[in-house]
Amino acid sequence: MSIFIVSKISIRFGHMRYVKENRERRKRTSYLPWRSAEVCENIKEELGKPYTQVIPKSTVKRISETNPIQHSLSDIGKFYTISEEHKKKYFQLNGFPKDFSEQTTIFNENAIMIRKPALEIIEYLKNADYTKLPIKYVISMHLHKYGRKEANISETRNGLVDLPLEGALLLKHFQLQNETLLNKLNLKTTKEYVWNQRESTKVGEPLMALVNHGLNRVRYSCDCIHGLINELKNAAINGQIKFLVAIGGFNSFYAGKTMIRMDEKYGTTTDQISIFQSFLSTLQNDWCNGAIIMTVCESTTLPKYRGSPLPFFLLRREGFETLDPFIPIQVSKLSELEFHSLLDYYEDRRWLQKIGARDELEFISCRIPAELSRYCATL
Amino acid sequence: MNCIEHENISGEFRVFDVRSNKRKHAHVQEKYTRPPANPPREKIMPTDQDWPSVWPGPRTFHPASVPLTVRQGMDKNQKIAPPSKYANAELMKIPNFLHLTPPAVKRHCDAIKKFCTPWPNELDTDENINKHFPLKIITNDYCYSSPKIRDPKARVVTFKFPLSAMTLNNHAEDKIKRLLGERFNQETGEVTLVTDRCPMRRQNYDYNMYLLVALYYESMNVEEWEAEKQEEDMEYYDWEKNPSKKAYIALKYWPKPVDEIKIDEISLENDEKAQNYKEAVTDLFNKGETTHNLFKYKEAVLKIVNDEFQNLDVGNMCQ
Repeated sequence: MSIFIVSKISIRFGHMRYVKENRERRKRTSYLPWRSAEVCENIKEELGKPYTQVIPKSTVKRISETNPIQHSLSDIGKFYTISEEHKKKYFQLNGFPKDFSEQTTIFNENAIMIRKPALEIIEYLKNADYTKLPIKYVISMHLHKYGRKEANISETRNGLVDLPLEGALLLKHFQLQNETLLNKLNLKTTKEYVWNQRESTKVGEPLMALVNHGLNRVRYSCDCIHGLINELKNAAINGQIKFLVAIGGFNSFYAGKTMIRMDEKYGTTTDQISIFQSFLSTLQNDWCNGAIIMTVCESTTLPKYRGSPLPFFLLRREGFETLDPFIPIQVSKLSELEFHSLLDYYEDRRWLQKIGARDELEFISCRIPAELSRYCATL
Repeated sequence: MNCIEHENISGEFRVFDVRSNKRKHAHVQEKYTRPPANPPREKIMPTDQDWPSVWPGPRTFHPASVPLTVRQGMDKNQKIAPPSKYANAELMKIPNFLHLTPPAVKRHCDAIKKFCTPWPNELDTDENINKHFPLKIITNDYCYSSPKIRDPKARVVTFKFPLSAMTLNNHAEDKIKRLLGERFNQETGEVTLVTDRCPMRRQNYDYNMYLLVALYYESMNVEEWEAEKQEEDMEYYDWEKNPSKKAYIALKYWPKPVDEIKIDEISLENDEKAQNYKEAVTDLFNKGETTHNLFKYKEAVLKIVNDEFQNLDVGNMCQ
């Protein structure tokens, strides 16, 4: 006898006689009022298939092409999947927002919907003139937060604060993403880095030595990042590499206050953080063969600086003048097509167990993806 | 002892009647009857009477003087009609305009007509009036039927005028705006000066006049410390003096380092892209960040960064 599972079980005692009397009639319908092996067997024989709750399987629009460069405007709203191998290589430590990485484990795949802003940036990157200064793209969204961190006073750069553990994480992330590429390109250091009396990185050593030093001697990780960024900028100017800088929640750099505790006091400002200063050097107009992609988002900054998702408001004058000129790219709410595509995907992944009510969902979520995901979580 | 003889004397002893004594001396109170009231004046008013003579000035409502069957107020349960005009406090509370009937106004105008001059033909439209007489002086008069006719609020004098009515140079305009502070309305460009510090209206008027003159000449003065004005203190964004121009020149003259270029000496008046970009950035700073201004900025940046970006499929992102 085969065992099969019924998704909804109704237990009603004293029901047996009713069932027996109406068994013949009941057999002809797909409705199952009583779960007994005998009844189920009968129905199974009659219908030729086991009973399950009938959910019409929605067809998710997927695209087999996993290389985003090949996507076009006609693919908007379709899903493509990042393979587990690529995820391990590029996004093992960092890169995916927390909400998204949670969803990847729930859905058991790393599916991303193709949307217009991404296509726009890719198109710009493809057509950019790399002999000129790097173009800055600012996307309005994303997250990045400074919490309570372990901090040291920088020994090499006066008045700055190092975040050694954060620096090491960043270096590890860089190593995972770029190790094979760097080994292939065979980049060398152009400057001698003296860490202390005994330790130093000499001229002509591979760039990976700098990264490894930061990882092994976490104390120097922030200085290693500074050196690494300068080396990469030099390599980009010489045309050896193309250098892409991606910063999430850039407006948090101008939040001012941090939760970093130095000498038992809070009061370290964001511009005192050495990693921030290192990244600011990539924004200077003195290198080429590269591009800078940044996101700005309300949630990354202090409540007093929230109120509008537009970049000029979030960056404020200081940030705007650092970036200017940049290309603002708006991530708008979902289009009708994208909205239905996303709901199809949720239904396919059984995230959304009740079908229908799409008009209502559209109304209450305003087609904002985060809101939609929140409302769908309970359905 | 007060005693009187009784009329019916029986025997040789007189009877002392205490009660009758009292009755005789009791004061008989006369019953007061109210004199009959005259019928209300309204009943005997002729229909062709001269109303402005009956009600010549502002006055609290009087039911007998007004030959109208007005009613005012409301029954709590709404079961009876609104109370009539007699002994109706509601009618007395509200101000009335019974003295301003059309014949009264006409008579008044006719009386003062001899003091008026004809209206100038040039002041035919509101625009012309505002142009030639930009200053509005606002005061309030308060009428009372009480013994005291003064009201402290009557002393307040308000001056209103558009700032554009003053001939000011750039420096003076900026300075007068700072001096005026919240008295200057950014949206309408109107200045409002309210004075109530002196006890009399005339004094407040004179003080306001003094303020006008003082503001004008103070804004024209250039003090020594004004030379210390920094870029952050500027009331408007000047692209030529800001890092944005430096960034544009760095982009234009790359790979020549910006530090070697004398930015002040470079004129970009013939550079159409630069002018476009300058306008977009200036708008962002001066007019505020709107989606329209941001899109304008994006288009300008796309042009200066790479000409081809305009022709891409995805280039037009205005939505």
